[in-house]
Amino acid sequence: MAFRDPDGASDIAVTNLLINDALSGASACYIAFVRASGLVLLVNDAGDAGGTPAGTFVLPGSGSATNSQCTVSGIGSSFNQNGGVLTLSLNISFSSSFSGNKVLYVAASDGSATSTGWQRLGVYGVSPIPTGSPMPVSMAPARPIGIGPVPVSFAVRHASTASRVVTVLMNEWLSATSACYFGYHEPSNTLVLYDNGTWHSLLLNGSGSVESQFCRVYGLGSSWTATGLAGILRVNIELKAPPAENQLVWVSASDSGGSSSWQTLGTWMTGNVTSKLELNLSAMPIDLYTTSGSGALISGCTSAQTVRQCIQKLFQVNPSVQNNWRSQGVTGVRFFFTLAGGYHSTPFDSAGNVSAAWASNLQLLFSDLRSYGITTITPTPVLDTWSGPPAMVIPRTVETCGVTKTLNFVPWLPYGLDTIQGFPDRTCDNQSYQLAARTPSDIFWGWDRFFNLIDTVLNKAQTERVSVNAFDYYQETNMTDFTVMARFIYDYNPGGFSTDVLGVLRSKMVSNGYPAAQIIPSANIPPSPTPATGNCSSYYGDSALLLTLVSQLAAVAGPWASFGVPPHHTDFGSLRCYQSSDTSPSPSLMVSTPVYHSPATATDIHSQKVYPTNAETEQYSTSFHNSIWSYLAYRGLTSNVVVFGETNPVDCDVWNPSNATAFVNGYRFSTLHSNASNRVYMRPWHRTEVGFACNLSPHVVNPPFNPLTF
Amino acid sequence: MKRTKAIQPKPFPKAVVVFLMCVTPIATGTAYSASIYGRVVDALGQPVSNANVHYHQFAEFRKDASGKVVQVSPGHAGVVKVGSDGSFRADALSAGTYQICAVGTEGQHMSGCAWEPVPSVPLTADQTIEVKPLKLYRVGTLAIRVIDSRDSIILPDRFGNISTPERRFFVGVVGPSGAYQAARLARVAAGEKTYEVNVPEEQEVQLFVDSGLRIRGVSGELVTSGARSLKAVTSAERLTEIVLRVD
Repeated sequence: MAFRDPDGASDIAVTNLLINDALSGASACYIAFVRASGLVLLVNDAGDAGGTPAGTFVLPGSGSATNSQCTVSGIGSSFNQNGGVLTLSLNISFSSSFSGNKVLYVAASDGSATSTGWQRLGVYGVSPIPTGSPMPVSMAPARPIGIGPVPVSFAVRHASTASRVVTVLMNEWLSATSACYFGYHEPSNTLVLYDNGTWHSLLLNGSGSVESQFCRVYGLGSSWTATGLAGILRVNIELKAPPAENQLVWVSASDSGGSSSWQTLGTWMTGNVTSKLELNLSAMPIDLYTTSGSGALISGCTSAQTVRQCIQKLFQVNPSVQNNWRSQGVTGVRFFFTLAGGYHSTPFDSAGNVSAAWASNLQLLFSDLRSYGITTITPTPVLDTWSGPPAMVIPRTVETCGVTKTLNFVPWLPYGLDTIQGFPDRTCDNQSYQLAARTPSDIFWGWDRFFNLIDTVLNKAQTERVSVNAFDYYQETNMTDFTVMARFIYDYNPGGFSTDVLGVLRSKMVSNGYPAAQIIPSANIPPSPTPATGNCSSYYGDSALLLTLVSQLAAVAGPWASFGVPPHHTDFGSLRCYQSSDTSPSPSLMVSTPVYHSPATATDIHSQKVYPTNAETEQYSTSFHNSIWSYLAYRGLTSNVVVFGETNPVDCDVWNPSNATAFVNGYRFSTLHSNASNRVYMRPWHRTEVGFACNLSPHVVNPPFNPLTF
Repeated sequence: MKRTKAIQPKPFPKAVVVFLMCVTPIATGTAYSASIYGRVVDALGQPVSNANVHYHQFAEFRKDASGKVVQVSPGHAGVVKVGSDGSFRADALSAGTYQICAVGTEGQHMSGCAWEPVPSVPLTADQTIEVKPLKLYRVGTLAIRVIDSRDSIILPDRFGNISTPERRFFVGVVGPSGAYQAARLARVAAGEKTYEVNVPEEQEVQLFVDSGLRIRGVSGELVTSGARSLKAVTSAERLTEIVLRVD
């Protein structure tokens, strides 16, 4: 057994192993190990862990302990600590009366008495295992990991070839409620799946599927083969949402000769498995999280609810709520929050400090999401003008890039915005990063506010034990065309005090227990080549589809690289391609940030490309995702977490389920999927605000965003 | 920038227009009927020939219904060659916003666009405008020799990773306008590393050092202590050298 503790193996205080038919210490082989002393303790037959043990001894040593179920021997047992991992090996023998398929329950606690809780980690067949017929014999693989789809084979032994049935139930307990529960009937060659009181049937002819709220069974990859009285039921199973706890798998067999009892044959390892399906929830009205009637702000909820109650409805698994997001496999949530009351989020008080009430509501949101099984959050501050009321957008005539010009300023941006289109100031093109006007000091809040806010957000996330995965602190940046955005990497101020924005944010990540380089702005969506397969290398050598992503990487790299509009020619209608004869704009006109940062360990780019036909959309998607993999390989970033956002899975804007499916399929055919699918996260976009929402919440994201396909 | 709307522009018969790349019609369908013209001069205002003028039409964007920024047009770019009298002219341009920069010979010239603010120019259909004289500075090479007897400095690998980021060392120069130019690593010898950066002649610059190491100037003064700092240096001349030392 291996136990991991992020604070180091020496932080682990006690580990427990309980072997029994069910989670009960009575008549069990129940062993505790105290790491600091090496003490092995075997609990008595009554299962009284606080009472007199059946026996104790110390490792390393030759002692042993025995109760009516088992004997633990010091000889052949050992433990060692390596970094954050404690590995414990125990030499256990069982009494003949304690036979059959037993479940291994494992737990650990640390010095602060924080416990993992009991985890089902496997099944062990204690000899003699049950004989007789009919009888389930084995399951392969015995410990599937993840959510599938996994073809699982159940071997059974029958007493008769007539009326043969094999039944499988996957759950934490032997109960059909909230279970993936199905049976195979040989005479009709049909598999039936239980779904909240009804049964769905599937003829096992190699195609089709059936699904319940909890799982899907595919005809492809499923089969029944029998040789004499032996049979193997092979079922291609997918869990629709990763349950919070590992699942036990019980199997029974019946035929005209009788029925077997349920036998525990395996453990489906789903606990703490991240599905990699996250949801992009647009703006969250944090100010009103517990305010009566505020649920009416969210499409799909009502004024009879608060936002908090609405969140519960949307995420807490509840069979009565159709399309509940958590049930669809969503395990992460991204949301925006405004900085000055733009959409019911006012994180600062009148003195500019982070509001205690706002922070409290945020923490409550994190706590709620965590309790519903949402393990990852990405809170993104709104840096657009709508982060505050219109009155906070202040026009001011300033000197920018050597000319006098009127720009709009807001207190949270270190640069001005074009008064007509609202885009960041690019008056002197690439040089704007260095030489465009700074927000006047009587308007700009300064960086400390921003840092304090991010620090508070991270602190609340850490307090509520939710992960921060690719923290997108600036939505959809484009440092190619709007180089001033790189002031959110390093705010170079030649006339005053420069601020290492990314450096400070990384330090906030670390001080709150998160990986430093997992905080990075997302890159703006790529252009639309014609044809959809159109692709070429940019000046950087990566795909021109990823120009904004690579520019951001260059801005992070500091003096080691340069960013801005590179030399190029236009091809495929929109791509800025490069060949050696391209000289304009000259590379010498690009800019660098003056401070080095290591590359981020997360890559976040948004894409929402739809073409007239699904075939084109799929082709584009494959091309785009191939380009991402090439970029990661070219840049030595193949271990990066990769996050995609903004693809809408339902009828909204240009999207519909059909073209969204094509987009997902395109990804599945890509080299990114074949090389790095375990690190790719999808964050489909969904606006929840009444007045902006295309669909009621919760909506269908799976399919096409089936976590198993990522 | 003062902009002249020249209804009847002066003819520039010596300007040779050279499109070094195929200019792809942009999505807006704007007519290619606008022109720009002007002169390229050195720091003293004297005409510079043997140079190119690069123009770059800004990419265009719009915000969609969700407020997301979507590219409408990638813009386009082109080059015209400067005439012997320093004049240039670019015709058949579509309406848009342009950045126009003089670019000379690499290692001999620095574009004014890289050293001082040069604002972009809005151009409407059928418009012909004269832009302010474009600066092209003659440059000298500023060498920054870093004595690093214990090889404390760790250079980036080919992916840009530095195994111990505190031991990074980067240096660049800041000109009077605030423009920053990164120096490139030119030579590595035992116990020292030399960085070079091109600097316009007769310009006072400051060093901008980014390092987690303690760096001292030649007379022992601390240039940076665990972070970064600015250090004034004398006017740049050809092959000027500054010596720094890693503690």
